[in-house]
Amino acid sequence: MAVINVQGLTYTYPGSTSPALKDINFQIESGQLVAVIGGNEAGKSTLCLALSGLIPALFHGQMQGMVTVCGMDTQQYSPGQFAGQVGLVLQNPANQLSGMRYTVYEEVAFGLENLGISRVEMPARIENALEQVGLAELCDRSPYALSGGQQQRLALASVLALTPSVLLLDEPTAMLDPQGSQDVFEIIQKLVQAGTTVVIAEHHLEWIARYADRIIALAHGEVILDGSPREVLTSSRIQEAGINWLRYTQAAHLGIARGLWSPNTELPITLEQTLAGFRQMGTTSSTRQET
Amino acid sequence: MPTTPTLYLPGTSYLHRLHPLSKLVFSLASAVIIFGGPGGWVSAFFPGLFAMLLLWRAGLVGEVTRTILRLLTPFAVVLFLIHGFVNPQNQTILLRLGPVALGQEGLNFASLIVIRLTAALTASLLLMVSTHPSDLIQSLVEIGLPHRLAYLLGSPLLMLPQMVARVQVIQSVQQARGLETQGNFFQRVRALFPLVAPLVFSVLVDVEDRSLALEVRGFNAPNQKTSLTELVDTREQRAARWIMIVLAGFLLIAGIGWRMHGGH
Amino acid sequence: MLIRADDIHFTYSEGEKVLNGVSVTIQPGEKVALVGQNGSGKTTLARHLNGLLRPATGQVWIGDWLTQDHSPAQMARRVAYVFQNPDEQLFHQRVWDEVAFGPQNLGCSVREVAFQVERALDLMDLRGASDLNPRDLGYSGRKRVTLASALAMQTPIIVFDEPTAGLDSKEQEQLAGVFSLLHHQGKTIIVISHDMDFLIENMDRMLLMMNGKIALDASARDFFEQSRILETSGLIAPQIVRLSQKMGCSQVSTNVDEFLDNFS
Repeated sequence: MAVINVQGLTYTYPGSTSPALKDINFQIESGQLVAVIGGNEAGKSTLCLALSGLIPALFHGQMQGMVTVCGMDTQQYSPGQFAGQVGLVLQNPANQLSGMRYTVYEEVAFGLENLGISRVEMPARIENALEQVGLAELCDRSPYALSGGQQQRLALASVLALTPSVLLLDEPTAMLDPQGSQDVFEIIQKLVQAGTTVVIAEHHLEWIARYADRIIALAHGEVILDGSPREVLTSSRIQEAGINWLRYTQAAHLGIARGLWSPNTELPITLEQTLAGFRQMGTTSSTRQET
Repeated sequence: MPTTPTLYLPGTSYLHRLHPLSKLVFSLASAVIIFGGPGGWVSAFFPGLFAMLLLWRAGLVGEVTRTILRLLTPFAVVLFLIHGFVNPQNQTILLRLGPVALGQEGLNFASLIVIRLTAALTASLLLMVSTHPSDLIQSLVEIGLPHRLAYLLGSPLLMLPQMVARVQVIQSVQQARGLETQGNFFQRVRALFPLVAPLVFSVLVDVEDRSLALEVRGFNAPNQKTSLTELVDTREQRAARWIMIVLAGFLLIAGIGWRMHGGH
Repeated sequence: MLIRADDIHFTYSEGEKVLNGVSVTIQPGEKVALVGQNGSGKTTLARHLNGLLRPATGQVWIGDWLTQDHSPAQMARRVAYVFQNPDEQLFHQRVWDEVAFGPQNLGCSVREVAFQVERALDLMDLRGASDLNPRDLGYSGRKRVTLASALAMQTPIIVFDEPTAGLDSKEQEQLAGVFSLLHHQGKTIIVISHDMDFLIENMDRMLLMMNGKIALDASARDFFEQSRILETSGLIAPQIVRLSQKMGCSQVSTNVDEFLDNFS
């Protein structure tokens, strides 16, 4: 069942003359991990905001078309009403702290309090969310005493405690170091396995190549490609849109001219696919020499 | 990242267990009596002493005394020196040091101010050291403070250290671009704009980001909010709060009368 | 200009030792990457190079200048430093003025300033934006303004803190082009980054920081041969390195062409 449905979405920010999103159409099935890629200014963040219901409610721009998430039309419901359904995690971890709570535990409680969850129900939900992101042991720390990676996991926990059925992530690892990024990616994988629908705008193509079910590529506010990771990441159109191929794909592509990669083999997007393709050519060419 | 600038000392004493509003009313009523009550230093002395006794019973008096000494000592020294030597009301000369003289009236005046400040500080520290800031805010929300206003009151406490850190970064950035931030008055004024403008801009960017994050966590959700911690109130405390309010009002009126008849 | 750090130690006021005996010499014209987990001391080391921080013990020489004898603003003549977050530095209403700020601080003549600004704007592809307000540009546009601001200062040494963060592939390629141009002009380039795929293709020498020390100092190729130390430091080897290692190539390749050469 489609949990997200976008039809003819065009959106222009107030004060801007050209639309940030142009005639976007897609549906997302429940339980999928969908990556949104694109160069800078392609419209990735705007799309995340539109799916979270913050656009149009908070931005007062010009919106045409329709976005429904979990069956709710974003033009008819307020962001507050979406809060339990849709979670949003942004780039900058520090800016997502409420600034009102003194411990990690209380920070996770903040959203539950806003949604009017009863006091008896809170501890289990908080502990469960902290457990999911691996912060249970730091629950008494000040949120401001955490590293950037830990703060981002706290932002995730704060949203997960609200048990959203759709999780939107806008470049959640852009400001983290490799270890911090790795931690966040692992949490996302587990969430998808547990059935959460995840839409993630992300630069880290190697991870997307491996784990996304589907990729939507944007350029200048338009969807230029929408398909399986292998289809999208090996297309020449994403290069035109400012996204370089993975080195694996580049190596195989350049290998064709040198007879190292078979033109009949689909271009690879993971290390394993690349190894298999090069090895296959290696063995066929060496058997040819022998005979 | 520096930690939060709060005076709160975690603990389980009877003061910690009191309802935040009881302590808030005590601090405010004390302040009214200290500065508005009749009889000069007498009105200041007794609320201060009372607050000290309450803190002593909770085992917090040592920490509070240290804080008061740290905050007030430099101020008190300056006050005694200025009023002792240059207060125009000085007539009774205690000591002559060449061209300057130490006067009794000025010292009396300085003592009164120091006693008042010490007393008021003790009463407000009673609230601050034993009350978690977010509990205080929650208690205000429970008696009708709008949650947006509560946010404005509560969040600066936590965000201030972040701002201080950011000011330091911006200063580093502009120094690395050759901006001289030390030096004479003119150089410092010239250095101000490159420091303030990025601060304002980056704070605005953050505020927009933060408002999005708050929104998806239901900050403006239409339902009734709940709270993680339960603030325990008792009938006795409610009664005590009303008594303190009435007492402070009464002493304030008495103090106004006393001043109209020449007290100060 | 030669950079020499001599057994430097550094501790922030919070007390934790951040640099614990770092010695390193960087020759004029080198392209050096500083890598390591957050908190390993990379940024602290880099800020010693332009005098923003001064070692508790040990010395840092930039050419014949000892950093502790010069203010950060003076050091800006020799070392430019591009910070990560553009919003913490932009303050002018026009891109042109923003880029001119550095050379003006260094006391360049009006003509010289104009010349350097135009050159830097061309390099960063900002010629068309010179009259715009930097804040009206997107994130990567603002980032490019900060890069241009540093280039316009014409220092022999430039430090870049996470220069590729927030740039898309096209913009990263442009940056790589700028790096090679600076390299041909004989400038020393120091880059702090987590982006290993970018570093292996654009840097000559890698310094790995761990616990306030330089744990590994090697050419880019030799550096990535040491897969064990990379794992313990939490770094992920570039795609091309993993590919050539898994394919059993006799030596690590630093780019796709080299990999194909080694392989066939």
